[in-house]
This record gives sequence, structure tokens and C-alpha cells, in this order.
Amino acid sequence: MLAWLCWLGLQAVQLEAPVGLTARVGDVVLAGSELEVAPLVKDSPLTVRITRVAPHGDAFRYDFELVGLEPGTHELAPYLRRKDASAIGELAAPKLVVRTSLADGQVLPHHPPAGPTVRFGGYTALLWTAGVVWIVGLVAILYAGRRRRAREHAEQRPKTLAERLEPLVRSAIAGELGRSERAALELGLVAYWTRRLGWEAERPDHVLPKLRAHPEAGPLLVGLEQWLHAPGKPVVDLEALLAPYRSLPADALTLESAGTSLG
Amino acid sequence: MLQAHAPLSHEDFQKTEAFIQAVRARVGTVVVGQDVVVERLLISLFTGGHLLLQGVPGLAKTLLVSVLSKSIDLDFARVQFTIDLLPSDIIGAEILDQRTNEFRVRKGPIFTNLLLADEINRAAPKVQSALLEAMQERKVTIGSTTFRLPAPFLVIATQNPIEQAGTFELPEAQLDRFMLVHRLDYPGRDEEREILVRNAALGIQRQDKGALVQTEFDVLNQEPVGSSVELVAAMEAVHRVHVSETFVEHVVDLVARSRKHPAVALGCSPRAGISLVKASRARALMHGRAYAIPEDLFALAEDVMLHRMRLRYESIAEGITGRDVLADLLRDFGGGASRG
Repeated sequence: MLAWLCWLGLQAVQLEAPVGLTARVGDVVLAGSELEVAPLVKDSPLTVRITRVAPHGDAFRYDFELVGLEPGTHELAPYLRRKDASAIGELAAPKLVVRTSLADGQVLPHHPPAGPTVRFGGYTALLWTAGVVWIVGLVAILYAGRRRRAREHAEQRPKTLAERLEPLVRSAIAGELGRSERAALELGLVAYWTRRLGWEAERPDHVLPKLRAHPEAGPLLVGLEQWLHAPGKPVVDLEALLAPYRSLPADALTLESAGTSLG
Repeated sequence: MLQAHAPLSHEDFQKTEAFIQAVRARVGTVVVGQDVVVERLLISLFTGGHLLLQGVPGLAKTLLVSVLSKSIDLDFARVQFTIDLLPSDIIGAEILDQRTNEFRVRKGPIFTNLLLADEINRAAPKVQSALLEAMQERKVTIGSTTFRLPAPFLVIATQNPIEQAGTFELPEAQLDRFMLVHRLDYPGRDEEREILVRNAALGIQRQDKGALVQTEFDVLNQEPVGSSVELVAAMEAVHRVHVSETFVEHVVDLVARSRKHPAVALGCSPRAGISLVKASRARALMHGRAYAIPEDLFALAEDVMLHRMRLRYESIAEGITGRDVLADLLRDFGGGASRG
């Protein structure tokens, strides 16, 4: 019985593992001095790693990790050597049977099948196209926004003094002015003459007496005052009075103040 | 159109104009320059609105009021407001007559035609309040008896804008009772020279065994140039000055703008609009017109509106003044350039 057990102990263990996967075996008693893994050579079909070594009487007990890179049965002994550089001799080291999933004779995996070309010019062309479309879109949005703002600004721009005065003058001559429009006409003409004579910076309460005394503006403003403020029906030729203001040069009288009561 | 009364006749107009010219001429014999102040005084007198004069001492405020009262034969009283003044010192009080053992009413200096309240901001608020209440109601109650104040009744108060220590600033609600607040300026160079020349010509007044140096008060002509009848006629004439719908539109617009200005926390009250119309009527008459025009409005806007507007704290911190805001309002109103 003992002899049979010794025979079993001397028999090499055979392991199985797929290509590339690790096989582990432990408590392998190998006679002789301590072993170590020989340096790895290029394109070696098997890699061996000793994970644990322990004395076992005259022998040593080993745990191994084995990775087979080529299918077939691999002896472990060629990958080991004695630490004391003595001859390795006969070893009952485990064998590793490395299995492969590939068909016989097939060395490499299949290449993936080439798909159809989905778009002209490839991915780079697609990126360029998307970039150009994005930039064009951005420019279009910005341009449209500027045009809209310009249109809104044009709509909100305070009317020039000329633009406001002209309809008031026409309505006054036609006798169609309302109460607030009369007030607007009077103050509009005051503003017109203030600007025309360059007196905008002066105190407003000082400007009006000067305007009334002015040889050109005075007769108009005094006549208008009589028409608007004097009791009864003063004889004022309104058409003649307001005729020069029927077509005012719009560019010369830009009204910057938005707070005017005109219009 | 404000024309509840009959239109002003040419004859009435001429009479009033002559009366105004005579009063102005009389004032001019004593007070040099100050045409605008005289105009504001007459506007107040003709419209029954009270006047607050703001200015440093020495600008002939008291002399002006004194000569005006003498020119039209009006009673005049002056009260120097101080911290220890009591309401009864102005209004009057009931005092016990020890002979009859009954209370007798002793009327205060408020029972006059022209009351000069000198340095009104030096009195305690209860005194200011008593005066301002009398100004508004034109009657006072002493004890259990209510007395009407004489007509015309006009308070001309003064306020020194420089010395503010120990003063009680008039709140906006009480300032609103003054129809006009006029800010006095120093006289011009020629006017000041004339003042000195006239003063140098004053002599010595012998009195008892001694003598006093004469002042302008001593040479006031005691003979009035106008009577209270003429004054009443002038007040009636002012009420007949035509105010057009367009003018009212201007006033409404200007007052409304004061409430919307970004620098203003509290705009003008409707009383400001009423005062603008009243004062413009009087000014129109004084400038030889029987109707008010925008020039009247522009000229009076500062005196009528400025004390009725309260600026925002932020605006004050930015150095914006009430005058800046008013100039802005008038420029916008007239459609001129805005302040930068």
C-alpha cells in the first residue's frame, strides 16, 4: 500500500486549461533541492509562476500558477531550474494540457466582417460638414437677431421734432387740433426755436422770454400764444403763421428727449 | 377754460396796471433791485397765497415787506421766531382782568394784514403748526371763541438756509401751505453800489437830547400809494385773467411729470397745479396781459414746485439738486435737450 502511495506521489499531475487562462495546482512535492522558475524566453508557449514554496522533508512542496499560450501538452520541468544550479534530473512535475476553442489548423481568430461604407467621405467629412452647418447657423441667428433689434430700434426711435410738428401744424391749419395737441404744438415750436437758436443749455425759464423777444421767433410765438391763450377769438392768420413749419428738415431737428409731450 | 368771472375790462385792466406800477415804484424808492421778489410779494398778495423767502440775512426782507405794507395802507406785524416762542405769543390768549375778575381776549400779532414771520424754522413745531393752521383756515380760536383773521391776510415767512443748528425744518406738508417759496439771491454789482450810495446819504435823526443814525426804515414814506379798495380791485382783476384750456393742459402735464421723474421720491401735489394757475394769473396781469401764457408757468415753476418735490436719497447722494430736476422737467416739457 505504501509503495502504491509512493508511486502515486511520483506520478505527474496533469492539468487542463484553455489558452490564456491560469491553471493552479498546489502542494506538489518535488524531490531534490529547491526549484525556481527559469527566465522567460521569447515566444514561450507556457509561463510558470511559483506562488509558494515550503520544505517537505528532503524535498520541497510547491504551489504553481500556469498559463498556457499554445494548445498542446506542456511539461513543466523545462521551465524550472535548481536554485543551487545543480542538474534538475528526473522530476515528477505536473503537465498542463492547454485546450483551444479554435478549429483545427486555425491559428488566428476570424477578422470581423467589413460593413458597408455608410456615408460619403467618412467620419472626418461628417465632422467638417457638421462644423460648417453649426457656424452658418450661428451666423444666421446672430444676423437675424441684429436685424430684428435694428427693426425694433427703428420702431421705438423717438420721432424727430419735424416728424412730430408737421402733422400738428397741418391739423392746426385745418382747425382739427385737440386740447393736448394744441399744447404739444406750442411746446414743440418752443423746442424748435430753442434748438435752432442753440439755446438748449440755458435755463428753460430764461429761454422763453428771450424767444418771445427774438425778431424771428418772437412774432410767431406771440401770435401762437394769442391764438391759444387769449380770450375770445383773436384775429390770427394761423395758416400764414404756421406755413414755414409745414415741411421742416427732419435731419436738422432730431429730438433726443424721449420725455417730450409731443405726439 | 377757467373763466368763471366776467372778462377783465380794459378800464379795470388799466387801473390795476397803474396800481401795480405805483406800488412797484414806491418799493423801488426804498429797496434797490429785487424786482422778482417784489413781483412774488405782489403775486402772493393778489392771490392770497403765503410766501416763504429763503435767503441769508441782510437782503432787505423785512424792509421790503414793511414798505409794501405802507404802500398799500395795510397793517403789518413782525414776529421773530425763537425756540421759546409759544403759540399764544402769535395767536393771542385769554388773560384774567383783575378789575372785572373776568377773562379777556388779547389778540396776538397774527391779527394783521401782513405778518412777517422771521426765521420761521427757529420756532418749535407746535408754534409752526399753530401758524400754518391759521394760514390755512384764516381763523383762530382763542379760548372758546373763534376769530376770523383780517382780510387780506398774508404771511411772509423767512428762513435762513445757512444756519441750521437749533432749527426745526418745516415738513413737506407744512411747506405745501406756502404757495410760493422764493430763494433770494444777492443783489447785482450795480444794485449793491446803489444800496451803498443810498445808505451813505442817510443822515442823523435827533431824538430827545441825543441822536440816532437813520436807517431805511426811518425814511419810509408813510403816505400809501394805493388803498385796500384798489388792492381788492386788483385781486378781482387777477381772478378775471383768462386761463386757456391749453394752459391748463401745460400745468397738468408739468405737475404729472414731476411725479414720474426718476430722481423724485415725492412729486408735486394737485395744490401745486392750483398754485401755478393762480400765480400765473397774477404774473400775467403784472406783465400787462389779460391771459396766462407758458412764460408765466416757466417763470413760476421753481417757486411753486421746488419745495413740493422730495428727491430720492440716491439722487441727493449723486449730487442732484431740486433745481437740476426742475430744469430737466422744463427742458423735457419744452422738448429741449435733456440734462447729461
